[in-house]
Amino acid sequence: MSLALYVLDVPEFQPVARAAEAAGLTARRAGDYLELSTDADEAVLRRDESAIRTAVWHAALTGGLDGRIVRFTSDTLHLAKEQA
Amino acid sequence: MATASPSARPPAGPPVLRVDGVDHLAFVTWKPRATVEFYTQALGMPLVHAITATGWVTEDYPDFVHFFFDMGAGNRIAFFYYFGLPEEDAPSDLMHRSRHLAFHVDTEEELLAWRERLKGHGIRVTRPLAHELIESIYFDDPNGIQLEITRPLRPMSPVDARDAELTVRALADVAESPRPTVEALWRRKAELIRKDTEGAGL
Repeated sequence: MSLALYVLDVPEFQPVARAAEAAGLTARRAGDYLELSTDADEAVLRRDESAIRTAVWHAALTGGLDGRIVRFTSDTLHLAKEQA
Repeated sequence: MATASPSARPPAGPPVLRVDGVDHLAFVTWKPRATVEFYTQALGMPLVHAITATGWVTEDYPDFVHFFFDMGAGNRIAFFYYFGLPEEDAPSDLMHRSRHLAFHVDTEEELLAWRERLKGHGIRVTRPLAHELIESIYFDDPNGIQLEITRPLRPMSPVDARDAELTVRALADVAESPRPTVEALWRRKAELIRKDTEGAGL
């Protein structure tokens, strides 16, 4: 099992990719998306590290998620690997 | 006599059939005076047509007035006023916010100028709210219809359309499950992206 999120490679979602990298995820291109993945079991993205506007933050996973949401608040996105 | 060259012939198959934008949107009003004042004065949309008639459509169709305002770009907004029709209850807050009409402007300056204009007419209007691709202000017409004026933050591009295609494919798959959730949609979309990119060797 892996933990990855996909971020559409357009300007307004760049802060999401930066927040994911700040949370220790590694970026690689996957078609129109950046795939941000980690071997870790969990990752916590913080909105204050990304200066991301409210509407985009709440749509942060719109590109897709390989994993599960532990907690998604107005300033923290806690993700974990899917349980096998 | 000139003859068309083979390359000038239209392509084989049925012609491409496509509608050309909005002719009119129709709503119902119980407040004709306020509606006319709002659309002509606050929004500056000329009244361009009105028809009055007995209820001829079906036996129980009420007598009515149907009047139209020019929204620009060849688009009109129209209202029915029905004689003797009891006023309906207001929709829920969610439906009120969901069923809205957004007008387009090109620039931030126009958006802010509209906000000031609406405030000058005594209309409650939100601060500009930036979404993903657009920034908008919101306000209600006298009938409680939510209106929006919006400007683009960047042009839509082919990448947006490709992303939308994957989103609605994931939605269609998930929506047919017993308990659809947005988290399930996001997981399905990730599967579709991986399938697409692995298939294309990306």
